Amino acid sequence: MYRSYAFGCPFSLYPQSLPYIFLLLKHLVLNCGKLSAFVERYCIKGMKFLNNNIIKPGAESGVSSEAAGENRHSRRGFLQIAGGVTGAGLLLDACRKGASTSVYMGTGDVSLLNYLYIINQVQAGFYTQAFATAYYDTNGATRLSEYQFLQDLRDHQLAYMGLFQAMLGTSAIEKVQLQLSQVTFADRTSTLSHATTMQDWAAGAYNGAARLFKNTMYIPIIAKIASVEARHAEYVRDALNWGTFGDDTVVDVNGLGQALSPNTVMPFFQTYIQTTFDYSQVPSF
Amino acid sequence: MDLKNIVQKINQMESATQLSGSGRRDLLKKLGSSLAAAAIPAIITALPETATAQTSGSNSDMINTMNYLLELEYFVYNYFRTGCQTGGLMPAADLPGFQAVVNHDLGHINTLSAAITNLGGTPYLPKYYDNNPFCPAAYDFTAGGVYMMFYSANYGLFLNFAQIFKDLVARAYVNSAPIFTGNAALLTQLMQMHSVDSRHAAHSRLVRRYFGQAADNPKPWITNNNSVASTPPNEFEAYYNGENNTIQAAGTGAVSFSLDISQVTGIGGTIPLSAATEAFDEPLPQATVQALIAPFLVS
Repeated sequence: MYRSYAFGCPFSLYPQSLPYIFLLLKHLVLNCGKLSAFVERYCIKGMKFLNNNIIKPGAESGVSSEAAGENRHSRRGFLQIAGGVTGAGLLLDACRKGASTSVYMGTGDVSLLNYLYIINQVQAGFYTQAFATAYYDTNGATRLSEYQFLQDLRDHQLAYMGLFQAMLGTSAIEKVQLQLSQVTFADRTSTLSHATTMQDWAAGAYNGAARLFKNTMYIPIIAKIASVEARHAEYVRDALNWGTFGDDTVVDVNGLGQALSPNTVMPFFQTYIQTTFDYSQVPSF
Repeated sequence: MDLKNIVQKINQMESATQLSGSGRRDLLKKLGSSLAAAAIPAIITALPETATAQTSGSNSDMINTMNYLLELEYFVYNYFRTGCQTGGLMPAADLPGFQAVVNHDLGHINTLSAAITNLGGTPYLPKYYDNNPFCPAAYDFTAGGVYMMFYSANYGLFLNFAQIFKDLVARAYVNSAPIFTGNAALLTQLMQMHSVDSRHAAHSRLVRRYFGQAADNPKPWITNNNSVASTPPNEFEAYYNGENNTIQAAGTGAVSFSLDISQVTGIGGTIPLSAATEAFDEPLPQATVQALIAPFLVS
């Protein structure tokens, strides 16, 4: 009901709806991943002008204009303001309906933890499905191993999920909704090919994330997990093609594995997720 | 020399950190040679098995740590290359995989040597080094005639040590990462080498499993603190001390957290205890790692 109402009404209430239009514009721009500094600045200027001169959007719900001003530059702040304004939620709802909907991951270390949390959620969901879909038979030692190892892979990813949830606390993003339709789980080659690509990206993601943390207390745990994600990559590669655990697509001539930047990795994992994530604030290199 | 005294000495060295990296290494080598004839790891239950909190290191800390990792990379390079060159040791199907290990490890030797030089340090060289990273004269992988994998073409025994040594290197890298937090480029290179050694460890374990003579039936990841045999007493337990940890923690005071991974929700209950230990490679302190390879170094 909100959705049908949202586009119809607020725009007709000019000039009262002006702040919402600026907010909406800013929201759309930020979340389309096509951040235009010019448009953002324009919106912020517009909001500032309105805050100071015409309408105080927080006033009717008790959000002070100072608070609104302080939070102008963060989307979380934006959400707090918008959420507090009667009717603004309608616009958000309308916005969620569009293709540009995206979920904020935070900034700095929080965003990096959320980033790794997303990767582990995708893999946990993937291995859960892989284990539940018995493409393998259990005859023979190798196949029996495969059955056991898929369960281990699932449980390890669940362990990481639990850890990141605990580390993030209230800053954790919602659990992601997966879309795994590109995987044919009944087919061994399809499943293990996707597993291989995911594990290579995950191993590279951990290697690349280490340097980006501000708080070095995370590094020991990152190193512990990176080590085992590399073991996972070895396994799914060898299961698919024996001896390819470290071929030259993933290890260079100096024996170095990949180290990947979040802004490179996110688009890959995004293909397995329904939700769109705004990774524009995640540190990258 | 009495084994207990050796352990005490190593522990004292670790806690006091009085010795420089090279001084400590020399002493450990001497300790190692006196140990070689004895069963190796009687030593080890008393060695430190968990890392003390590491902080970002100075240039000389980074040089010392990289030299220690370089020593390990030479060690495994020589082990696997000897294996690849020993006729009749490994099945033809396994040779390309272990040759890849050798190539990667040579890359690590070159990468670490260059990084040490760049920081103004002098890269470690093995004993009897003669312009060739392959210098088997520096190593006695039989540990004084105890383990004859290369002389009796004992592939099962070769795989035991392939697994042990590579797991050890992976744990050494885990322990070293925090020292490089002040240098993004080096930290990244360390992670990149580390992850490849972890792939080697996992591969060695899988080869060993499929070779079929391993009573412990290893997985590519380290389960609990299981060593290369299932029946105690096990002379190789020490290499896996601390691997059964399930508490993952970081930080101090207000900015800290701690979680028992075995209590994490899995499918139909908490995840299995084994999985909680497998999912993390635990650090092993430098002095412990060096004591564990010392029996295989020629003094």
